[in-house]
Amino acid sequence: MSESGRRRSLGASIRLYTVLGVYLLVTTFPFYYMLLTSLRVPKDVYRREAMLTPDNLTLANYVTVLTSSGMQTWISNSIVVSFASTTISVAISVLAAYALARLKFFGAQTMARSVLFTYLVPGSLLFIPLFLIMSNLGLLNTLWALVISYQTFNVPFCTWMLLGYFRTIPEELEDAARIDGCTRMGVLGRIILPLAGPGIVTAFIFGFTNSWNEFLLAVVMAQRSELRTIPAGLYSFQVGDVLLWGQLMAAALLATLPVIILFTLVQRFVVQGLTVGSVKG
Amino acid sequence: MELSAREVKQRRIVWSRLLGKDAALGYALIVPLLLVIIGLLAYPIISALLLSFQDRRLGLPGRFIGLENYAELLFRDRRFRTVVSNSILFTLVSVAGKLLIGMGMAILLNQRIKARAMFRGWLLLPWVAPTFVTALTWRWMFDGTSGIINYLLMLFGVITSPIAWLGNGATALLAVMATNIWRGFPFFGVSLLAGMQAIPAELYEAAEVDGASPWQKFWHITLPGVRTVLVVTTMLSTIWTFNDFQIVWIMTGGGPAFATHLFATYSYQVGFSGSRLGYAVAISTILAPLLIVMILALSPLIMRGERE
Repeated sequence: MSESGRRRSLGASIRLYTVLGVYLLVTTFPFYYMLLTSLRVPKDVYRREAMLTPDNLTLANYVTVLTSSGMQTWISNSIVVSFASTTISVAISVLAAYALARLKFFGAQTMARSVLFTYLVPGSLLFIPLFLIMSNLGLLNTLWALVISYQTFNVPFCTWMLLGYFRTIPEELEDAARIDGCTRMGVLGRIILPLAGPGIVTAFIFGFTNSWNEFLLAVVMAQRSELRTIPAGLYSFQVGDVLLWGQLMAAALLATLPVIILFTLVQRFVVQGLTVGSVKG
Repeated sequence: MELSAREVKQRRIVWSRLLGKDAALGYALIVPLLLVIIGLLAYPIISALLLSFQDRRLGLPGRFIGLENYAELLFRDRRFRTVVSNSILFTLVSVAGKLLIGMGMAILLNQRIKARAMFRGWLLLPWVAPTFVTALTWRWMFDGTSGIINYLLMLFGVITSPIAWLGNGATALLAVMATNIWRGFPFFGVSLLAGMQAIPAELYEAAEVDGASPWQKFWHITLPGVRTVLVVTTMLSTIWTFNDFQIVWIMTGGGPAFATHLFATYSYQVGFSGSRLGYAVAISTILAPLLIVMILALSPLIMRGERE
């Protein structure tokens, strides 16, 4: 049960690693199967005898997917939408989170609470009114519809995250700078932002992946193929009668890779405590 | 009438006493946030509420019909009844599954294990992967004719002929729940693990001196130690699971015969395939009171965790 105490017996070790093995297997298998399917020609995808064994593999599906104009458009839409919406969210959130974490003014507490509250409001409640708003603004046929509506989940999320991060930056650093004649905005620019760098990068990466993965609003807002992001594009791809699982899995894997790479980066940033060093130094 | 410099200064002092010393800059910095909260959250929520009192078709102006949508939902819409029972079953089973498997993961990773950080990152993969990818992949794995799940079950002699998992009601609901559990258990796992690692080791040492069994240690030390994080994670997951859209929409589209429709998928279908926006919105706003109660109960717990 605990980390302390005696050394484990051999039997207990075997049990422990067996259970761990089962967890790893269940977690990994769908990814393996995705990869395997993506590397096969259509007739092998359905071949019973060769369900699990990697033979006769080909990169043809990747070539097809990456050279199709539809997928190229969806990838570039996903990049543009995720990048633009997250940049805006992070800019809004940095200012707001600094104000809510550090400045003393009437309503700051209530505001911080309402940020959390709005973060918890599910998208299923918002998608129809957001669709009508974008329709009224005449934005439905542009990527702006997604860039703007993604603020609904990214701004509360990033503000909440940065709020926690700013609170960990020692106030003494700020006081010292202000005694030296720095203005509040000067403090934000010269002291807080550099120190909060990892926090801001983390918020950006989380925001980016949230936008990258978003499905419901993407399906609702982008009704024409050239406006779709990858999730909505792949969904439209699979509505037809024949499902090309090989290509679909290749595209799905391509959409997953950036997310996993970004996540690996964030894990490191989360662990890094930059503030500790700055107080000591 | 000109104010003297002294009067101006005095007024500023009065204002700063009322609003706080950093009021001017503070309000200036939260203006963009306020715009988002008002324009993209408060306004849509209020307009959702107003829409739910209307007969509103796609592309047409709305007509006020009072509580008619709600009356239809509650008393005349038999499909909605199916949606409610599907959602409750889906949420209960999925959250319970995620909780149990996640608890197992946390206990496992809380042992002395080499390369724990690597395993934690690895087991987090289902949570990290985009949900639409997960839904597509599991749809393919549950395929009735060529799916790997049928193949494996037949290989090990569990079944003798393939099952059309997504083709009939009961198994389709099972399949979407299994997928949801697979995707969501790591969130419970890492949250509970963080909670467990904050429990002082001395508690376990003392219990061992007293000869407590592993089960007793779990029941009397681990579980109380992770209580808050357990409640927060479960409530968060309940909100998310209850409002799930992607997994069901991609895997089954709510079918077969409505067996897997949830609130969000039904709302989407009524709104965009059936073009009845007012009714579609009523399907989600009818949950709002429950949602608000849950969020209000949850926020202080999260705020407290934040301060600790």
